[in-house]
Amino acid sequence: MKFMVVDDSMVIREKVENVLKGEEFEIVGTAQNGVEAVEQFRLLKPTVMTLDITMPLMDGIETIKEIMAIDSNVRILVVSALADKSTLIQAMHLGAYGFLCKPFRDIELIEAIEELIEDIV
Amino acid sequence: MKEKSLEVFVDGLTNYFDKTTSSLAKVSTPFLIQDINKYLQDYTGIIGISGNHKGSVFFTAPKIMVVKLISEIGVMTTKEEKLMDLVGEISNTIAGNARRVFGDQFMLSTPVVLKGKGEQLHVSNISSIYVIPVVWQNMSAHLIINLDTV
Repeated sequence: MKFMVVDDSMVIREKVENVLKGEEFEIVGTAQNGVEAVEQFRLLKPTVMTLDITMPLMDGIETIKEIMAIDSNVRILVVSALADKSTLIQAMHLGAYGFLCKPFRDIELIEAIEELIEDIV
Repeated sequence: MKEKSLEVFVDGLTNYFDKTTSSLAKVSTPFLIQDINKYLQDYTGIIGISGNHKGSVFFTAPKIMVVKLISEIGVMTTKEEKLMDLVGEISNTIAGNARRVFGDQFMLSTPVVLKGKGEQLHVSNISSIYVIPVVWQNMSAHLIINLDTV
């Protein structure tokens, strides 16, 4: 299953990649802002992605809008420190499938992704 | 900013170490300071706040602690670029978690990271500056809160 990781923190991108090593995913791309994410999404067509909200150039909320307009079947797990309900509701309303609040334990990331894809594996 | 509002930052700092490390951190009671520069350490992540508050949230730590923290989250490196990235991410995470209390109009900038004490930092002298100390594995870092309600 093709997977993409989007976060402006290189350490978080690396952490997510490390946690997913050995799982059934092929990390096809990473991006550090929404603009890069949309460009890479068009080229790489991942099935699943993690997406941060607070990023430069284009934030995660705008990125969800753009990506859902390209392919609404993608499964997006928002991974963000923004812990207010309205951000969660807005992201889910736009088409995100799940929300994981930073900071997170490895097992919490794995469980959130398993939940995200349980009906497509 | 009211002292009661500092609880969300104490909780956020405690939660960060709890979720990302394998040993407990001791977060102490916040206290007021006059000069932020005395508390800056090797790396400082800064989040600018706007919206229903104005000011900044800082996380500052010594290099030895950041190297240890980055290994705890599974990234084995001493590259400065990544150490600075982590400090920015910690400040962003703790400030972002505060939206649980302050709501979605507590607006965050993307992180700016300073290395060393360098230039003297000048912060708002209207609002109080609070330091929240944290000790983890005998190393000490600080969360610094300089916020006013709008």
